[in-house]
Amino acid sequence: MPATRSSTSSSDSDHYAGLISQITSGDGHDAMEELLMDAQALAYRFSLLVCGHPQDAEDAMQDALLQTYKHARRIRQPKGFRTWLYRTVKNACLMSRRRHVHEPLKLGSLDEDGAPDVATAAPNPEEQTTAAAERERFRGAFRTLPPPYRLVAFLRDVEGLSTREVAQVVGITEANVKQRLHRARQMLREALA
Amino acid sequence: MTRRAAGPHCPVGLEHWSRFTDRDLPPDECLRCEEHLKTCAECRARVRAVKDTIGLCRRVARQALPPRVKAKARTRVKALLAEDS
Repeated sequence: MPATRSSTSSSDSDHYAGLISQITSGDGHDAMEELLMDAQALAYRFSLLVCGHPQDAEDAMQDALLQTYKHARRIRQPKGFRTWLYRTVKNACLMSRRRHVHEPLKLGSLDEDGAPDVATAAPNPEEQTTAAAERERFRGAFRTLPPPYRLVAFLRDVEGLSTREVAQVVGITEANVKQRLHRARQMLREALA
Repeated sequence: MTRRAAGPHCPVGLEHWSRFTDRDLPPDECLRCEEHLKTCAECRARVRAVKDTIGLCRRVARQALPPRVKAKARTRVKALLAEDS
């Protein structure tokens, strides 16, 4: 799944289910490659937006990669893969944070890894600068959310998981997800104002 | 937009409109909200605020991996798959 796709919850689930079916059928080299790239992209977004520690992203991506690789070939329920992936990435990011907890915080620009991907690059330098500034502003506002709210807003509004899926990933009730989500949107709105 | 006090029939509060946007209200309540929105600019602005926030999340946060990060990720995948084959 490309990181830029703003898809619905069900289409993402179908996408993952399709990849898993190809992998378990024994002819899924390309599907596995795509799945492993997706897992790493998710770990990267999670590290930056939820944990707020770019320096943890490498470890989290590596963990997500290995665990996805092991799990994908023996999964029995492709439909459940999506929530498994998000739970795994969440845990990988938290473990990575624990390993780095005593390291000094490096909060550089999240775009410092280079120019935007060609597929998503704005047409001219001025627009690229504007887009980068918008991303930084958004991330700054997102990081002001208390962690439990940030996590729910990330899963629901950034990643497009359903309320039920968010509840499964976070381990709280659906009612609690809704409550946190509405509060997170309100806080985010205020932080962006 | 000129702000005005919420009317007696306004289901005020972002939480209500957040639930409306998520289609998380009972059908009769949804219909009531839709009717209300036809005549209340203030509440239309509230709905727009919720939708704008969600739209920003999707548009801004789900960008592609930066090229250098993507290249490293691809290298890790290739190495792992090569080990296995």
